Amino acid sequence: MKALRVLIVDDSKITVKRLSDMVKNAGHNVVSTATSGMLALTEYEKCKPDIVTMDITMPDMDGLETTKKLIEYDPNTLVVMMTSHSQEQMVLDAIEAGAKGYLLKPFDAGRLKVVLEETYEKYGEKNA
Amino acid sequence: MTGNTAFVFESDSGARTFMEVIVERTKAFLAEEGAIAELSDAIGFLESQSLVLKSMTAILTVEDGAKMVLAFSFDRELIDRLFEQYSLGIEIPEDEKEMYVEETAGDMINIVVGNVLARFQQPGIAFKISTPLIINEAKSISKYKNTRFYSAQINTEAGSMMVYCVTPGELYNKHFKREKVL
Repeated sequence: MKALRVLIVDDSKITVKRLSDMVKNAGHNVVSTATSGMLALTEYEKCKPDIVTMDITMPDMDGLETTKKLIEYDPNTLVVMMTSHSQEQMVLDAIEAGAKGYLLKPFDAGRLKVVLEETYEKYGEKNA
Repeated sequence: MTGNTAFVFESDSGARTFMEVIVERTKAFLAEEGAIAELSDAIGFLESQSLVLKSMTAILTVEDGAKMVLAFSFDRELIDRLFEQYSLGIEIPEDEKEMYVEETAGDMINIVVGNVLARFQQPGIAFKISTPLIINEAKSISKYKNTRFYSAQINTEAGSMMVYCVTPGELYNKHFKREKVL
């Protein structure tokens, strides 16, 4: 597994810092972070990451809408949804928006590594 | 009841069960993410005409057709202890510390509430959770007519917190928004 280039999107700065730490400890690189959906679109264009971790509940533009816009811009965008929301309907909404992975908060560092790497191996390597 | 669909927050029993599950998950979060042991808890209706907020309070709304406002109100010592553990190993600039303490409170209520929603899901009804709002001062919020307060006190080794649940939430949304502007 190559070191993945990860864009972290979450409106909570403490979550961004915690996730960044976990991603780095998993042997991957955080190429940028964004604390809103709008910033995520700009940062994605700039950095072209391998994979995006996306919070669902954000003000203004939520993670579902941001994911749809990213996929409109680049159909190969790989998004893993990060949310506290355990309801099945939310998982279905995330898949419908185009997410390829789903991880429940609070985060477990080991689980995060597995989900990022499995998602990339399954959907990303063919686009590399 | 609305048509054939029972919204969780419309009945007393639904709201009380929701509170019980929230309190259990809150205690687990304090233990797992904050290494803070719970000493005791108590859940009940709030008899007083006002809701007393501690020094830091995180508030959000949950909607399943009916609306509920939930508030986690912390003793300063408790939220500081949770922050210390939650941010362990992360570099936080001293002048930004307060913002990160607030985000810890916001993360906690968002995660606790989001985590329990699967227990109450019904086909075709998606819960909506708002982003958290933080109130940074101890104050008292008066009770509106036709609203119901539920409360739970969780006592820990690092101080206590209150969990408040207000139904219906529509009336309080306006109130909390006004408080933020002031």
